[in-house]
Amino acid sequence: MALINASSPHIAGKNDTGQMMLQVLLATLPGLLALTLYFGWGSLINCLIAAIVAIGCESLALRLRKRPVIFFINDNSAIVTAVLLGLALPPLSPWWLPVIGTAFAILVGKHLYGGLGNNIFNPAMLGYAFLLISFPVQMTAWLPADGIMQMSFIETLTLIFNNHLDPASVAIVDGLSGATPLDTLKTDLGLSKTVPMIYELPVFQGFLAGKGWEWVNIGFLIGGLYLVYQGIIHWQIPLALLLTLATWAFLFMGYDSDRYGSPIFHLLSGGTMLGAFFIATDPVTAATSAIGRWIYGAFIGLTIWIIRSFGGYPDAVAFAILLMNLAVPTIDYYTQPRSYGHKEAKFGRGKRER
Amino acid sequence: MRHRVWHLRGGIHPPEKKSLSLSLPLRTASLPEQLIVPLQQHIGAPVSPCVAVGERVLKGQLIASSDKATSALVHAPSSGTINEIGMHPVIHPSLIEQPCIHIDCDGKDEWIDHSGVDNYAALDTQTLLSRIREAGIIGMGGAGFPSSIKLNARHNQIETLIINGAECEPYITADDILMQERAVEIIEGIKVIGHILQPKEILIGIEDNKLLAVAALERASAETTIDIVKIPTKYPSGGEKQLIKILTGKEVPTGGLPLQVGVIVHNIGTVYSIYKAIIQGKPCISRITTLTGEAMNNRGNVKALIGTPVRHLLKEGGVQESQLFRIVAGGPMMGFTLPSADLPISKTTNCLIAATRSEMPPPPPEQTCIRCGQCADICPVTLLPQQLYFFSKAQEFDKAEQHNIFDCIECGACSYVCPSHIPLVQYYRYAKGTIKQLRVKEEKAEASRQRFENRQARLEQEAVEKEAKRKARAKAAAEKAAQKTSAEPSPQSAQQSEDELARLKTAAASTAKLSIEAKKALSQAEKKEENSDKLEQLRQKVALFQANSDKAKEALKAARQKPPANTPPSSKVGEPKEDKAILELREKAASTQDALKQAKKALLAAKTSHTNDLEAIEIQVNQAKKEAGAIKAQLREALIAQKEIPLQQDTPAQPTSDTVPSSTEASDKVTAALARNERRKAQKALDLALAENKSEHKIATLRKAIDDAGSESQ
Ligand code: SF4
Ligand code: SF4
Repeated sequence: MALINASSPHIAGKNDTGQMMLQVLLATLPGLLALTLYFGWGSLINCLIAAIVAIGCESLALRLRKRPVIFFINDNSAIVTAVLLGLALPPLSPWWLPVIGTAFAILVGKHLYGGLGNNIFNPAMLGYAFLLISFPVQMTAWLPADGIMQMSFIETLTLIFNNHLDPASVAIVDGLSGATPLDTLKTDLGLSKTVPMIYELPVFQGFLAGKGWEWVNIGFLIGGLYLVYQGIIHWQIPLALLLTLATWAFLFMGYDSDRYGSPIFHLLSGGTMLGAFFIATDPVTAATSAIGRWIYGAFIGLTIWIIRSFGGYPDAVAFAILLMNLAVPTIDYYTQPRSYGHKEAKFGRGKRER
Repeated sequence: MRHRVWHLRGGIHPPEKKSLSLSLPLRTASLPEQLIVPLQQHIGAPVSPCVAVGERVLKGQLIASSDKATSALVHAPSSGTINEIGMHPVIHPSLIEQPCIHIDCDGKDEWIDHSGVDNYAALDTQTLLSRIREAGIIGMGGAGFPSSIKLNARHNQIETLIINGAECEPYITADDILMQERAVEIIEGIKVIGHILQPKEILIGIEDNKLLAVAALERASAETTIDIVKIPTKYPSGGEKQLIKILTGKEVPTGGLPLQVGVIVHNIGTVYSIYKAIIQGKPCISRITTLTGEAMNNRGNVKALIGTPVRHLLKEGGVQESQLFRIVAGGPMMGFTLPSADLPISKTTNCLIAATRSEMPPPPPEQTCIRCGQCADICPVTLLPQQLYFFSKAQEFDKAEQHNIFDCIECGACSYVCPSHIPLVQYYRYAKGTIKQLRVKEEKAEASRQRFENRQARLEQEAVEKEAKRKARAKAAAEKAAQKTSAEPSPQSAQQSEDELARLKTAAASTAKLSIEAKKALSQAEKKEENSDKLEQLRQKVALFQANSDKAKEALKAARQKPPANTPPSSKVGEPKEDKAILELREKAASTQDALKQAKKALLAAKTSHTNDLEAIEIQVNQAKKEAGAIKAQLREALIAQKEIPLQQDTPAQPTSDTVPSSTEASDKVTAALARNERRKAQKALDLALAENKSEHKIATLRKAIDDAGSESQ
């Protein structure tokens, strides 16, 4: 008898980090589908490029840090980071945009902090913010909905890879690009138009909000609900985020409906749903306890609304999340739950009183 | 009427695998050739063998005993010859060797004379408790704490008696089968416990996956007020604290005992043993053990004698050695692996799992924590396991403690759900162990510092006292002289006595301050759950300072009561003084009561954390109990005495010149009485200390205290 000596428990559940990450990837599909239907093959190509770069960078970083490469690659977390970044980029962005963004996300955002689990900032959003600051032109070159569904996969691929080299391609992309509903709202309000006037514009001719964008957001909402149902993400963060965003939008719409967008518009525009369900819920960088998650989500929602309404950028999901990533240690500090047998929750660092 | 069931936060639903061992009825394991009976199966004071090698013993004969209350006696599980008494590896989480008595069974299984009681209700509690103690019964759910101690609660202290039939661990069915097949006996056993504790309600908590057991118990308890409560199947609802929450909604305070919320929990197996001990007069020499796991063919529950080697039972269960990959004693969530099959089972071995490799594969390599929070979602204690993991790993023990690591019950639910396969519980055990070691080290350093300070304080106090005594004597002499010469007020002596008063006041204040400081230190230490040595020292210090301060106050009072000759004497001199003494006694009674509480708390903390100085703490608890009792008795005496004193004083209470000496006399009497009391108490403490083999130092201190008190009462 060769008996093994092991510590309890002797059985384990079926949860697996790699599997969970695959589920997250699966859950992005409805949103990716909507993106592809309205904006062409670009997003899918972005995601693929980003994923390949992510695996490369992850291997490199692991080798440099002398960690078993295959073992850690199998947790699929790098691919999730890459895909989330790819989904957030403009569909016809030049190929080097996802490459730089992903490399930055993985190498700086993740491994410089000590790898998965130790990073303070959500790597995908760090990559996104880095790109937005470095390449504002390319990062805001979105397309009008269904502008290019006529374009084939190969055509799109060629365009993406020639974008920066071939003036003709650049011209095509420039010609195709247009403002997103959030851009439009921001610039046109600046031209002292009122919200009802702006809503008359073609980009807003969707069935609930901005054309195409509403479906992209609904796609991510569906994927997100699937993740909640599967118990992979906690519901508190998205709910708190969306509720706060909608409440502020509602209050200010009531205050001055000429200057502030409606709740539905805010919920179904830009990266709201992607951010709420896929990025803010990144467990590594989110608050730890249930109450903490409520606070964290609510403040992201509020920040998104503030930046969208008063800030310099049309969308704010990335910045709002990064900002709140910074607040997580403080939130955790004050939101330790009350344990069994204790009269009240403790908080603080736990230095022994002397 | 359906009893309310409270919600247990968290918890998991691992595959139950209980049907594996439920297809066959309960059977009796065959008699092994040799029994290896461990002597330390319980938590508490050790027992020593009372038989010799070569001696023939009968089944049920006492083979190891101790007169300590916290020990559990051991009996021969079958008849045979003592073959060896020596160290042998036993089933224990830390795989240690313990003294064991080896008995070569003669196969006759011949009982010693024994008899149960027909009418247990006619016996008083103490008799029943001593029978339970003599039967060597300990908590058979796994804790192994002597049951007679757990049952020794104060009258009216228990609101709810809970019988734990939850059995929430996968695989184990020992309690289930016992409830199914011995329901009548179990109900009878519960009645015995109910008779001892007199609780307001009796609840049996059973998970709703054991409907046969529920039905059997309902049938057996039809005529009683016992409430059988079905609770949702969920791991770990059978944890003591968890079950209390589910059935009563109460939470046992951290570091505390269920007793503090008026609850006591006993396991089904324990109840059955109590039944056998009281009704049949049989000691605890066997238990029901579940033999299960996929590497066994003949799975089921067996009644096995304590000391039966695991190998024998595995054979009984038809083990396929080629398939066997690990043996687990206990359940798959909290049990531990056995290094070999040659260990004997003990009173707490409720399950043996012979697992195949595919059934319990080696743990997959640990990945990084992604802070997914699944562990925090299911933790039944509402801890943040991921934070505890980070702190333990980074050796940030302060933070781990701040996050209540010592409230972790090591249920393993967090490890079970962790998608990154992190052996979280292992990290917590490591952290807890290291924290305890660090504490011991710190305390050793602290203890020597304390010893030094104590000595310093004692020397100072002695000097102060000597001075005070000398002054008092001088003053008494002066007063006597003054009285003799004339009753005229003498300005000089008045001045003198005022000076004296001021000095005494300062002394009283300073000693009082010292005493308060020491008390503060003690309570702080208690809060920090320091170890017993240190607490003991602090307590001694408190007692010393308290005594000093009392003495100083006493002196001050005495001086005040001797009125300067020009003050009209008061007729009520004796009364306020006596009141004060009583007040002090009351205070003392309260403080010893407090000390008792604290000691109990420490005991529990130690128990839950499996420390080795349990015994010491238990002794301390007993000591504290006795002290509290003594002080209470004193208080009573004093109260009675108080009633008498005013009577004595009534007669000479006239505003004449001879009142002064007589009132002084009365107060002297009181002082003497008090001192005698003090002396009696000290004598008692000394006897106690001698009986319990206290350290020489302590005995010496006590002797000195007696002498002091003696000289004062003269
Ligand atoms: S379940 Fe495991 S991976 Fe998830 S937070 Fe807890 S320790 Fe980390
Ligand atoms: S082992 Fe401790 S931390 Fe983990 S779930 Fe159980 S009580 Fe909570």
